Amino acid sequence: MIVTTSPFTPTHDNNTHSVTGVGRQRRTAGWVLGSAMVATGLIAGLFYSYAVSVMLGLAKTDDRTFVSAMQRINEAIQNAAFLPVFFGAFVLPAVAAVLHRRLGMRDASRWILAGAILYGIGLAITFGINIPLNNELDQAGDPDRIANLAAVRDHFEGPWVAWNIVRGLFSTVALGCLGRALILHGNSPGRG
Amino acid sequence: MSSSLFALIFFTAVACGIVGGAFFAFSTFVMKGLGRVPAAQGIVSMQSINVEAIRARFMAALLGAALACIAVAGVSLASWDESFAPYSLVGSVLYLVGTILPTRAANVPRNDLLAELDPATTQAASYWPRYLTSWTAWNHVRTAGALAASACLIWSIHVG
Repeated sequence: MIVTTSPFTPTHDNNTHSVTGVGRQRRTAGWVLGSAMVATGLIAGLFYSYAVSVMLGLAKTDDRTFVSAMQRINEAIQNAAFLPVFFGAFVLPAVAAVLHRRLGMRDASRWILAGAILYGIGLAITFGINIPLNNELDQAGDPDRIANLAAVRDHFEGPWVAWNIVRGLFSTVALGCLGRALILHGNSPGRG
Repeated sequence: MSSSLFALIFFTAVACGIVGGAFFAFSTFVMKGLGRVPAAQGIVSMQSINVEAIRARFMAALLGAALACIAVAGVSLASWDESFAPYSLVGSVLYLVGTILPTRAANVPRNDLLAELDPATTQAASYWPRYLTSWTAWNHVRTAGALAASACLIWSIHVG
Protein backbone atom coordinates (compact mmCIF):
# COMPACT_ATOMS: atom_id res chain seq x y z
CA MET A 1 0.00 0.00 0.00
CA ILE A 2 1.24 3.41 -0.95
CA VAL A 3 -0.03 5.01 2.28
CA THR A 4 2.74 3.29 4.21
CA THR A 5 5.28 5.74 2.83
CA SER A 6 3.27 8.86 3.61
CA PRO A 7 4.55 10.91 6.52
CA PHE A 8 1.01 12.04 7.14
CA THR A 9 -0.40 8.59 7.74
CA PRO A 10 -1.73 8.49 11.30
CA THR A 11 0.30 5.75 12.93
CA HIS A 12 -2.68 4.74 15.10
CA ASP A 13 -4.72 4.04 11.98
CA ASN A 14 -6.77 0.88 12.26
CA ASN A 15 -5.62 -0.16 8.83
CA THR A 16 -3.31 -3.04 9.66
CA HIS A 17 -1.30 -2.69 6.45
CA SER A 18 -0.29 0.88 7.15
CA VAL A 19 0.37 0.13 10.83
CA THR A 20 2.68 -2.69 9.83
CA GLY A 21 4.45 -0.59 7.22
CA VAL A 22 4.91 2.41 9.47
CA GLY A 23 5.92 0.10 12.30
CA ARG A 24 8.67 -1.31 10.14
CA GLN A 25 9.83 2.16 9.12
CA ARG A 26 9.79 3.20 12.76
CA ARG A 27 11.92 0.21 13.70
CA THR A 28 14.38 0.99 10.90
CA ALA A 29 14.56 4.63 11.98
CA GLY A 30 15.05 3.49 15.58
CA TRP A 31 17.88 1.16 14.61
CA VAL A 32 19.64 3.85 12.59
CA LEU A 33 19.29 6.31 15.48
CA GLY A 34 20.52 3.70 18.00
CA SER A 35 23.52 2.89 15.76
CA ALA A 36 24.21 6.61 15.38
CA MET A 37 24.30 6.93 19.17
CA VAL A 38 26.70 4.01 19.52
CA ALA A 39 29.05 5.41 16.84
CA THR A 40 28.94 8.93 18.33
CA GLY A 41 29.52 7.50 21.81
CA LEU A 42 32.55 5.57 20.57
CA ILE A 43 34.12 8.65 19.04
CA ALA A 44 33.31 10.85 22.04
CA GLY A 45 34.94 8.20 24.23
CA LEU A 46 37.92 8.03 21.91
CA PHE A 47 38.56 11.77 22.18
CA TYR A 48 38.04 11.47 25.94
CA SER A 49 40.63 8.70 26.01
CA TYR A 50 43.16 10.95 24.25
CA ALA A 51 42.34 13.75 26.69
CA VAL A 52 42.53 11.84 29.98
CA SER A 53 45.07 9.11 29.30
CA VAL A 54 47.01 9.04 26.02
CA MET A 55 48.06 12.69 25.74
CA LEU A 56 48.59 13.08 29.49
CA GLY A 57 50.71 9.94 29.47
CA LEU A 58 52.75 11.05 26.47
CA ALA A 59 53.09 14.54 28.01
CA LYS A 60 55.40 13.02 30.62
CA THR A 61 57.69 11.37 28.08
CA ASP A 62 60.81 12.87 26.48
CA ASP A 63 60.63 14.68 23.13
CA ARG A 64 61.93 11.79 21.05
CA THR A 65 59.44 9.32 22.56
CA PHE A 66 56.58 11.81 22.21
CA VAL A 67 57.25 12.61 18.55
CA SER A 68 57.84 9.03 17.43
CA ALA A 69 54.89 7.60 19.41
CA MET A 70 52.53 10.28 18.07
CA GLN A 71 53.78 9.79 14.49
CA ARG A 72 53.13 6.05 14.70
CA ILE A 73 49.74 6.47 16.43
CA ASN A 74 48.65 8.86 13.67
CA GLU A 75 49.76 6.32 11.10
CA ALA A 76 47.98 3.45 12.88
CA ILE A 77 44.68 5.34 13.20
CA GLN A 78 44.11 5.18 9.45
CA ASN A 79 42.51 1.74 9.51
CA ALA A 80 39.32 -0.11 8.63
CA ALA A 81 38.01 -0.29 12.20
CA PHE A 82 38.33 3.38 13.09
CA LEU A 83 37.46 5.26 9.90
CA PRO A 84 33.97 3.74 9.29
CA VAL A 85 32.95 4.60 12.87
CA PHE A 86 34.45 8.08 12.60
CA PHE A 87 32.47 8.92 9.47
CA GLY A 88 29.50 6.75 10.50
CA ALA A 89 28.96 9.04 13.49
CA PHE A 90 28.19 11.80 10.97
CA VAL A 91 26.40 9.82 8.24
CA LEU A 92 24.13 7.74 10.53
CA PRO A 93 22.58 10.77 12.31
CA ALA A 94 22.12 12.49 8.94
CA VAL A 95 20.21 9.44 7.64
CA ALA A 96 18.29 9.10 10.92
CA ALA A 97 17.22 12.77 10.69
CA VAL A 98 15.77 12.19 7.22
CA LEU A 99 14.00 8.98 8.26
CA HIS A 100 12.42 10.62 11.30
CA ARG A 101 11.32 13.61 9.32
CA ARG A 102 9.66 11.32 6.77
CA LEU A 103 7.80 9.62 9.63
CA GLY A 104 6.54 13.02 10.73
CA MET A 105 8.63 13.03 13.93
CA ARG A 106 9.76 16.61 13.50
CA ASP A 107 10.99 17.24 17.04
CA ALA A 108 13.09 14.07 17.06
CA SER A 109 14.38 14.97 13.60
CA ARG A 110 15.48 18.43 14.81
CA TRP A 111 17.42 17.00 17.76
CA ILE A 112 19.09 14.44 15.49
CA LEU A 113 20.01 17.17 13.04
CA ALA A 114 21.47 19.21 15.92
CA GLY A 115 23.54 16.15 16.88
CA ALA A 116 24.77 15.71 13.31
CA ILE A 117 25.73 19.40 13.07
CA LEU A 118 27.57 19.39 16.41
CA TYR A 119 29.46 16.25 15.47
CA GLY A 120 30.12 17.86 12.09
CA ILE A 121 31.78 20.80 13.87
CA GLY A 122 34.00 18.25 15.64
CA LEU A 123 34.82 16.74 12.23
CA ALA A 124 35.68 20.21 10.90
CA ILE A 125 38.05 20.73 13.85
CA THR A 126 39.68 17.38 13.12
CA PHE A 127 40.17 18.19 9.44
CA GLY A 128 40.98 21.86 9.94
CA ILE A 129 43.36 21.61 12.90
CA ASN A 130 44.30 18.15 14.19
CA ILE A 131 45.02 16.50 10.84
CA PRO A 132 47.16 19.42 9.53
CA LEU A 133 49.14 19.26 12.80
CA ASN A 134 49.52 15.50 12.33
CA ASN A 135 50.75 16.06 8.80
CA GLU A 136 53.31 18.64 9.92
CA LEU A 137 54.54 16.26 12.61
CA ASP A 138 54.82 13.48 10.05
CA GLN A 139 56.72 15.73 7.63
CA ALA A 140 59.25 16.58 10.33
CA GLY A 141 60.54 13.07 9.58
CA ASP A 142 62.59 10.62 11.61
CA PRO A 143 62.85 11.93 15.23
CA ASP A 144 66.52 10.89 15.27
CA ARG A 145 67.22 13.40 12.51
CA ILE A 146 65.12 16.34 13.68
CA ALA A 147 67.42 19.21 14.68
CA ASN A 148 65.08 20.96 17.09
CA LEU A 149 62.91 18.19 18.48
CA ALA A 150 61.57 20.28 21.37
CA ALA A 151 60.28 22.98 18.98
CA VAL A 152 58.57 20.40 16.76
CA ARG A 153 56.89 18.90 19.81
CA ASP A 154 55.80 22.25 21.26
CA HIS A 155 54.33 23.38 17.96
CA PHE A 156 52.22 20.21 17.89
CA GLU A 157 51.33 19.30 21.44
CA GLY A 158 49.64 22.39 22.93
CA PRO A 159 47.14 23.15 20.14
CA TRP A 160 46.48 19.48 19.35
CA VAL A 161 45.60 18.65 22.96
CA ALA A 162 43.43 21.77 23.37
CA TRP A 163 41.46 21.21 20.16
CA ASN A 164 41.05 17.53 21.00
CA ILE A 165 39.18 18.59 24.14
CA VAL A 166 37.01 20.96 22.09
CA ARG A 167 36.07 18.28 19.53
CA GLY A 168 35.47 15.85 22.40
CA LEU A 169 32.98 18.27 23.97
CA PHE A 170 31.17 18.77 20.66
CA SER A 171 30.88 15.00 20.18
CA THR A 172 29.60 14.52 23.72
CA VAL A 173 26.92 17.20 23.35
CA ALA A 174 26.01 15.62 19.98
CA LEU A 175 25.51 12.32 21.81
CA GLY A 176 23.17 14.05 24.26
CA CYS A 177 21.10 15.47 21.37
CA LEU A 178 20.74 12.01 19.80
CA GLY A 179 19.70 10.63 23.18
CA ARG A 180 17.04 13.32 23.50
CA ALA A 181 15.77 12.32 20.04
CA LEU A 182 15.63 8.68 21.05
CA ILE A 183 13.34 9.52 23.96
CA LEU A 184 11.07 11.50 21.62
CA HIS A 185 11.16 8.56 19.23
CA GLY A 186 10.18 6.15 22.03
CA ASN A 187 7.39 8.45 23.27
CA SER A 188 5.84 9.12 19.88
CA PRO A 189 2.45 7.55 19.17
CA GLY A 190 2.06 4.41 17.13
CA ARG A 191 4.97 2.45 18.51
CA GLY A 192 4.93 -1.00 16.99
CA MET B 1 9.54 4.03 32.42
CA SER B 2 9.60 6.82 35.00
CA SER B 3 11.69 9.90 34.26
CA SER B 4 14.18 9.17 37.07
CA LEU B 5 14.64 5.60 35.85
CA PHE B 6 14.98 6.90 32.33
CA ALA B 7 17.67 9.35 33.50
CA LEU B 8 19.55 6.54 35.26
CA ILE B 9 19.53 4.22 32.24
CA PHE B 10 20.37 7.06 29.88
CA PHE B 11 23.33 8.16 32.01
CA THR B 12 24.50 4.54 32.22
CA ALA B 13 24.21 4.02 28.45
CA VAL B 14 26.24 7.17 27.75
CA ALA B 15 28.87 6.26 30.36
CA CYS B 16 29.25 2.72 28.94
CA GLY B 17 29.51 4.19 25.43
CA ILE B 18 32.22 6.65 26.49
CA VAL B 19 34.20 3.92 28.25
CA GLY B 20 33.78 1.67 25.21
CA GLY B 21 35.06 4.49 23.01
CA ALA B 22 38.04 5.07 25.29
CA PHE B 23 39.07 1.41 25.03
CA PHE B 24 38.21 1.41 21.31
CA ALA B 25 41.03 3.93 20.81
CA PHE B 26 43.54 1.49 22.31
CA SER B 27 42.13 -1.46 20.37
CA THR B 28 42.14 0.22 17.00
CA PHE B 29 45.27 2.38 16.91
CA VAL B 30 47.04 3.40 20.15
CA MET B 31 48.60 -0.01 20.80
CA LYS B 32 49.42 -0.47 17.11
CA GLY B 33 51.21 2.87 17.17
CA LEU B 34 53.12 2.05 20.35
CA GLY B 35 54.09 -1.32 18.87
CA ARG B 36 55.83 0.45 15.99
CA VAL B 37 58.22 2.59 18.04
CA PRO B 38 61.39 1.17 19.66
CA ALA B 39 60.44 -1.09 22.61
CA ALA B 40 61.90 1.19 25.29
CA GLN B 41 59.89 4.17 23.98
CA GLY B 42 56.72 2.08 23.71
CA ILE B 43 57.14 0.82 27.27
CA VAL B 44 57.80 4.28 28.70
CA SER B 45 54.74 5.65 26.88
CA MET B 46 52.44 2.86 28.08
CA GLN B 47 53.74 3.05 31.65
CA SER B 48 53.04 6.77 31.63
CA ILE B 49 49.57 6.31 30.07
CA ASN B 50 48.71 3.71 32.72
CA VAL B 51 49.68 6.12 35.48
CA GLU B 52 47.35 8.77 34.01
CA ALA B 53 44.52 6.28 33.39
CA ILE B 54 44.11 5.41 37.06
CA ARG B 55 43.52 9.05 38.00
CA ALA B 56 40.03 10.29 38.85
CA ARG B 57 39.29 11.80 35.42
CA PHE B 58 39.19 8.35 33.81
CA MET B 59 38.26 6.20 36.81
CA ALA B 60 35.17 8.40 37.31
CA ALA B 61 33.81 7.12 33.98
CA LEU B 62 34.98 3.50 34.36
CA LEU B 63 33.74 3.01 37.91
CA GLY B 64 30.84 5.47 37.67
CA ALA B 65 29.46 3.32 34.86
CA ALA B 66 30.00 0.20 37.00
CA LEU B 67 28.05 1.64 39.94
CA ALA B 68 25.32 2.82 37.58
CA CYS B 69 25.14 -0.68 36.04
CA ILE B 70 24.69 -2.25 39.49
CA ALA B 71 21.82 0.17 40.12
CA VAL B 72 20.28 -0.54 36.69
CA ALA B 73 20.53 -4.31 37.25
CA GLY B 74 18.73 -3.95 40.59
CA VAL B 75 15.97 -1.78 39.13
CA SER B 76 15.58 -4.14 36.16
CA LEU B 77 15.01 -7.11 38.45
CA ALA B 78 12.59 -5.11 40.57
CA SER B 79 10.52 -4.16 37.52
CA TRP B 80 10.93 -7.44 35.68
CA ASP B 81 7.44 -7.43 34.12
CA GLU B 82 8.21 -4.21 32.21
CA SER B 83 9.21 -4.57 28.57
CA PHE B 84 12.52 -2.71 28.97
CA ALA B 85 13.78 -4.77 31.94
CA PRO B 86 15.37 -7.73 30.10
CA TYR B 87 17.36 -5.36 27.86
CA SER B 88 18.54 -3.12 30.68
CA LEU B 89 19.49 -6.14 32.80
CA VAL B 90 21.49 -7.72 29.97
CA GLY B 91 23.14 -4.35 29.23
CA SER B 92 24.24 -3.75 32.80
CA VAL B 93 25.49 -7.33 33.27
CA LEU B 94 27.40 -7.12 29.97
CA TYR B 95 29.34 -4.11 31.26
CA LEU B 96 30.11 -5.69 34.63
CA VAL B 97 31.10 -9.09 33.20
CA GLY B 98 32.43 -7.98 29.83
CA THR B 99 34.32 -4.83 30.82
CA ILE B 100 34.99 -4.56 34.57
CA LEU B 101 35.88 -8.23 35.04
CA PRO B 102 38.47 -8.45 32.20
CA THR B 103 39.91 -5.09 33.31
CA ARG B 104 40.40 -6.33 36.84
CA ALA B 105 41.46 -9.88 35.94
CA ALA B 106 43.51 -9.36 32.78
CA ASN B 107 44.52 -5.76 31.97
CA VAL B 108 45.35 -4.46 35.45
CA PRO B 109 47.68 -7.37 36.39
CA ARG B 110 49.55 -6.86 33.10
CA ASN B 111 49.82 -3.13 33.78
CA ASP B 112 51.18 -3.88 37.25
CA LEU B 113 53.77 -6.20 35.76
CA LEU B 114 54.77 -3.63 33.13
CA ALA B 115 55.00 -0.85 35.73
CA GLU B 116 57.73 -2.70 37.61
CA LEU B 117 60.00 -3.13 34.60
CA ASP B 118 62.86 -0.83 33.71
CA PRO B 119 62.25 0.04 30.01
CA ALA B 120 65.97 -0.11 29.20
CA THR B 121 66.39 -3.76 30.25
CA THR B 122 66.23 -6.87 28.03
CA GLN B 123 63.67 -8.29 30.47
CA ALA B 124 61.36 -5.41 29.62
CA ALA B 125 62.05 -5.74 25.89
CA SER B 126 61.18 -9.43 25.98
CA TYR B 127 57.95 -8.85 27.93
CA TRP B 128 56.76 -5.96 25.73
CA PRO B 129 55.63 -8.00 22.66
CA ARG B 130 53.69 -10.39 24.91
CA TYR B 131 52.13 -7.44 26.72
CA LEU B 132 51.11 -5.84 23.42
CA THR B 133 49.42 -9.03 22.20
CA SER B 134 47.62 -10.20 25.32
CA TRP B 135 46.75 -6.78 26.75
CA THR B 136 45.29 -5.74 23.40
CA ALA B 137 43.33 -8.99 23.04
CA TRP B 138 41.68 -8.41 26.43
CA ASN B 139 41.16 -4.81 25.51
CA HIS B 140 39.13 -5.98 22.50
CA VAL B 141 36.97 -8.01 24.91
CA ARG B 142 36.28 -5.12 27.27
CA THR B 143 35.64 -2.74 24.36
CA ALA B 144 33.06 -5.16 22.96
CA GLY B 145 31.52 -5.56 26.44
CA ALA B 146 31.05 -1.82 26.95
CA LEU B 147 29.81 -1.31 23.41
CA ALA B 148 27.26 -4.14 23.66
CA ALA B 149 26.18 -2.87 27.09
CA SER B 150 25.63 0.62 25.73
CA ALA B 151 23.64 -0.73 22.77
CA CYS B 152 21.40 -2.87 25.04
CA LEU B 153 20.77 0.05 27.40
CA ILE B 154 19.92 2.36 24.49
CA TRP B 155 17.56 -0.29 23.20
CA SER B 156 15.92 -0.66 26.60
CA ILE B 157 15.17 3.09 26.57
CA HIS B 158 13.79 2.70 23.08
CA VAL B 159 11.39 -0.12 24.03
CA GLY B 160 10.59 1.23 27.50
